[in-house]
Amino acid sequence: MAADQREGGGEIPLRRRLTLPELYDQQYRTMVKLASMYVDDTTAAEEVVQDAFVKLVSGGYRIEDARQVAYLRQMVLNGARSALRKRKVRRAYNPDDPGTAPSAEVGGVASAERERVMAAIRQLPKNQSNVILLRYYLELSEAEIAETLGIARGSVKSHAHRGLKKLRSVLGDDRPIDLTVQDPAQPGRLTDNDDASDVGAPDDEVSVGEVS
Amino acid sequence: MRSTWMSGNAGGEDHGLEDVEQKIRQALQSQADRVEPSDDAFLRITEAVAAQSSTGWKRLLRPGFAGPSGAAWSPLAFVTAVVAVAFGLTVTLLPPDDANLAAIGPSTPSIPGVGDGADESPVDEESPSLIDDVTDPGSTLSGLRSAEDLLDSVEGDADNNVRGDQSRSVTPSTLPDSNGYAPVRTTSGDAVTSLFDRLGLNGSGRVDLGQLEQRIESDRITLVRSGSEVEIARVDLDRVEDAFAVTGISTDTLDMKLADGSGEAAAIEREPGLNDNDTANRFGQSVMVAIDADDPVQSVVIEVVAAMNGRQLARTERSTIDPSTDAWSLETSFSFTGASRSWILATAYASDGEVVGVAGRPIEVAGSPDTADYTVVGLRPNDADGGLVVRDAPAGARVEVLDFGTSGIRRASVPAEVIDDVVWWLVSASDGTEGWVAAQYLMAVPELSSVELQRWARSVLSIQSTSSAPLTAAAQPELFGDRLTMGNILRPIAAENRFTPDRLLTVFAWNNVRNMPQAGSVSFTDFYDVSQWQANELLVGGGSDDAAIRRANLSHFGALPSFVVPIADDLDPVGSAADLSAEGSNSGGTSPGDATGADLGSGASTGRSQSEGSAGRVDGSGGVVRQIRFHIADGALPGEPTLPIIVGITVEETVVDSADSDEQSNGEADPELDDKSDAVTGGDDDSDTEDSDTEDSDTEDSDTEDGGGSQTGNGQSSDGSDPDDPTGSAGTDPDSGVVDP
Repeated sequence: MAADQREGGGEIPLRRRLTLPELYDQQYRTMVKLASMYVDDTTAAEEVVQDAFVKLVSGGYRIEDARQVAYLRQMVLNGARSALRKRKVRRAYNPDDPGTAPSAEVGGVASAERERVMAAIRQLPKNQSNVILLRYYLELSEAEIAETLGIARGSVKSHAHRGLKKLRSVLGDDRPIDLTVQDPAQPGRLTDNDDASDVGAPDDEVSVGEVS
Repeated sequence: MRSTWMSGNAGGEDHGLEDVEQKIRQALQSQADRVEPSDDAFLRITEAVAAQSSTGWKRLLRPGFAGPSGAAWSPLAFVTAVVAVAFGLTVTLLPPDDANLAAIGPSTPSIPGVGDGADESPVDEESPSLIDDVTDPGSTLSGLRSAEDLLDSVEGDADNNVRGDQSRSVTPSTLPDSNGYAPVRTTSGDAVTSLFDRLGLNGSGRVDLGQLEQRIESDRITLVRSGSEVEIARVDLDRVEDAFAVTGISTDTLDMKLADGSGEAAAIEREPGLNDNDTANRFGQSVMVAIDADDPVQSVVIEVVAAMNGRQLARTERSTIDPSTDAWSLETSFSFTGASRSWILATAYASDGEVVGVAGRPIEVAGSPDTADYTVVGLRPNDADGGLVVRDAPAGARVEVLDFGTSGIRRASVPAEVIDDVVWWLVSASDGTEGWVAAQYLMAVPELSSVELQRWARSVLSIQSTSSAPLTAAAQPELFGDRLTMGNILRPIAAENRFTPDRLLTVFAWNNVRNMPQAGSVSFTDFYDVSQWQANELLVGGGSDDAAIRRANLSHFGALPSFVVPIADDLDPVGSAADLSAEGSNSGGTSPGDATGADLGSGASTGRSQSEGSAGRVDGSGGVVRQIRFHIADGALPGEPTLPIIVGITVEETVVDSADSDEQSNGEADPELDDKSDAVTGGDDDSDTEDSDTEDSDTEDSDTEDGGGSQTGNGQSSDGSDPDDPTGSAGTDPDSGVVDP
């Protein structure tokens, strides 16, 4: 794992509140890369992270010093997913110029595989994708992931397991990714939001750091 | 090799997960490697923090935060000069010492603004004092409202957000005339107060900069070394003239004038070829800034920021000024509507990029009057007040209540006020009611002509086909859900024979509707146990943090404009697709047989003739005509141009008997989109159903006589039935919207 991947992943030994420069030095690059997992655009990812920094510093959140980094991670994840949604909305009004799309030859097979995996991760339910990113990109422990996402450790395992299984089913062959699954018990009911907390809570991603 | 989380289960159903983990790691690493953050991000963050709020300013002053250790006080000289110039001040700078000056600026958090009722700010009440903050750094992030609190207040009931004095006497406000845009004219005392407010100083205080203390006394700022009385710098705030008051800005004409202290005015004229949103303006020409030639300030960035209580609404592009010159010309752009408190913000950077000084000059920017018609939306059906409470002042005493769905509300030409995170607008209703209301419960009705609406609808709903040939089941038209806007009205699910109205609605309902007990074929009343909501309305919320979309989540969109897409009642994806992609608004005389996929892109109608055709029930036997009505609202965010968004979808079912069919098939077209011109401009609830039925069918007659109410699922009654109780209309199934014959 690259060093900067561990920047945000390791336990922060400092128990005092980090100053903004300290927080920036330790976390900024990693957070941008983390955000890019969702938004896939450096500029947009930086905006997400910068917003998170600003909110963290000036937003008046009641947080413990020790949770500062976890809070930042959470805001970045929420912001990135939010940005992903907004992008869809904006693209509806301003569709991308098809002429600007990169050549299919660029990047070759590796690029295609990466895009396939990233697309699959982005389509996972929120908690599953977040757990996947925190685990396999930041290499956080279960406890750290639980702290970051504000869920139980058992839930971390559960989300990771479900997410991996879905990804395996999607990535195991070349079929188009479609994670929308009908619940056989209730025709018409979708089961992709398998996290009960997701059900019926469309704004559940609007939590920390998403107040505009 | 890394361990796998799944190793404990390997060999069972989790076989192969290790490979997936490896794929994931590789992809994530590859993705991360593609991203290279910029080098100047820290600057942007610090600027944003500085502009964000007074608490942000406080962060800038935290020991160890800003300023290189070797910085002399000359940045202070610059900053104070900026402030001084902006206020027409007299600056006296004493000889420098080896001070470690980080920045000049704020202390106690306060609300930026110029006499904007900041005394009522909750931040003022709740924020810790500066002294407390300095002595207890760990407390700096406490005592302020959390994001959750903010969100709750936004989504909560309007009246619950009001903490006004209910005992206050009722005195309806009078809307000001255009003089509300008068230039800012302040006395020197007001200017000092404004400066202190802007900087969060509140008139007096002491700022601990570590080695330095900044003492504020009335109209003087004194910088001393900590623990001593030796003055390092002193800034006397002198009289302020009418300097640098923006005398008017209009997004229509973009005429802007800025008068400097000498009385000369620099006219800002609209540059040709640019639209209102990106027109470049010039102002602040020949504004003098006294900067020492040896000043280590590398660059100065000037911008205009419009904000309310620290919330940035809009800002200009930044204009970098060469500090080696003694005059600068601010050339920047500004996209803003309405009136707001703003300030000119100057940020000084040292050669290493550190922010070494920030100074601001409050101004008042007034846009052209907001001429949009607003409608009361977003209230919960069981709202205790029965509508939107109008008050005599922001968070003041109750004056009147505007009913749910009241339209024709105009905003007065005065800046909004923010109290307890609630944005208050002074408005007037068409019945003469005037007062302050919570702006979050008003939604602008987009002013779109029928042609514009039609064009937009076509752009939003698109069908992609690989062939220009008439669509068939084999052609597999594809519906791009994300082109339906709102992000996740639909997931981007390829049609693939799954595009059925029921399926469509189920998908988006599941993902977007709150409190829905079950999916499947749902009606509005299934998940909101209230009679006020209209049958078969389904909310389309974004699940997003966009305020507009969040408002729309709880919207009652009967008064909003809409357009109709006919669908086949046999859930035939081909027919549906063809209809969705139809071009043109009118198909007058289009035969039912034409209303098939063959009309894709040929100018076929989205009107009823097409609907019948797709329904396939115009063979004389009658049947059910189904159509999807998309309700539209203003989806613009603050500072952004108006954009229509779909906030609701209604499935409408109309029973058509044979006589209707015959008549309709030969009748004149009844383009729904044309009907919307009424809705757009007037918000006529009845327009859709009424128009569609009265012109060319006897359906309405029979229903009206039966007291059956609207045939459409949205309950927009054409017979004068109680709009508050659409489900109670005799003969109408509230769940299906189908008229019971």
